[in-house]
Amino acid sequence: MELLSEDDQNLKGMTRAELEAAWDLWFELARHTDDFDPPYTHGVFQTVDVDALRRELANEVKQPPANP
Amino acid sequence: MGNRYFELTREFNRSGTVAVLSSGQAVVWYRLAIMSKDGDWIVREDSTACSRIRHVLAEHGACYRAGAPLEVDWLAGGWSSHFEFHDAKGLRIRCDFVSRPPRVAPAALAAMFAPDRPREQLPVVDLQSLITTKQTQRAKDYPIIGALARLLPPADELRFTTDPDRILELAGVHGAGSSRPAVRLAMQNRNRDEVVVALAREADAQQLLDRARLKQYERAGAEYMREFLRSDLGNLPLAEAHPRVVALADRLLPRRLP
Repeated sequence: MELLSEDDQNLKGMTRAELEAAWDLWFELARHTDDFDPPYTHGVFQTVDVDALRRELANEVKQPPANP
Repeated sequence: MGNRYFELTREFNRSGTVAVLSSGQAVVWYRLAIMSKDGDWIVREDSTACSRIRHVLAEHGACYRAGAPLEVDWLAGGWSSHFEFHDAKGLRIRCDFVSRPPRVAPAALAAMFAPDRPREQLPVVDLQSLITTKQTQRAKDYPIIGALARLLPPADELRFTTDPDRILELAGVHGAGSSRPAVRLAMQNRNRDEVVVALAREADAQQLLDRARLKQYERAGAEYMREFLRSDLGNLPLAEAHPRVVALADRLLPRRLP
């Protein structure tokens, strides 16, 4: 069972500069998925649903103030 | 422009090792993948290191994302700090920091910041520590662990690999003393299917452990995260936001888990 395809294996044959250039090209293309990325992929907040929190806060703002 | 996260690592560490590149970009560094959009670092746990990193991030126009302050008090409790900026091309750069990566032994952490570490090398987390940081709640990390383990000497590979074929191949020579059920089964010449099932159970147990760990932080940080977002601290320049983030954390984010 190999994780890497033959193309991926070529990463090992690249110079450091070639590897950085390849990553640079990939990174530019990857910007198109920024909006779909999860808020956290590392650290201790990965399970926090930030979008739900934001929606809750937005709803609080929309709510009319409670009667005194 | 090259890899922004490698370049940031050089900037952080210009005057001494304060941040070691970890996780996805470390996998890129070891040439096993090219796909990682954010940067993760293990921070040296002292105020000089935190200050240096905040300074570099501020120079790039970074802002806090909701998360703990980049300060020793919270990092030492296992919390993580998160930042974001856009580079000269407008590309989003996300930077995540911890000083106590889960499952990494204190001795391995100390070695990352040892004074005799060669200065000319980019500070990148060692393979064994990288593998343990990858034993996460996410299923997609486990094939990467198998690929990372292939870079280790065979006896060490057997301690970590997630590949049943490698376990079947290595267990006979290097398996003595292993506590891994999959390795023990392979040493008993049990069939491949049993080894596969044992590996799946091991990975599932690791995922559940990590998920439980994160849930503890989620609960302890819930009120803080809500207030962070309500206060809109992520839209302030870092230098202005930092003292306010610290003040909020002082009030609502426990330094250690209850």
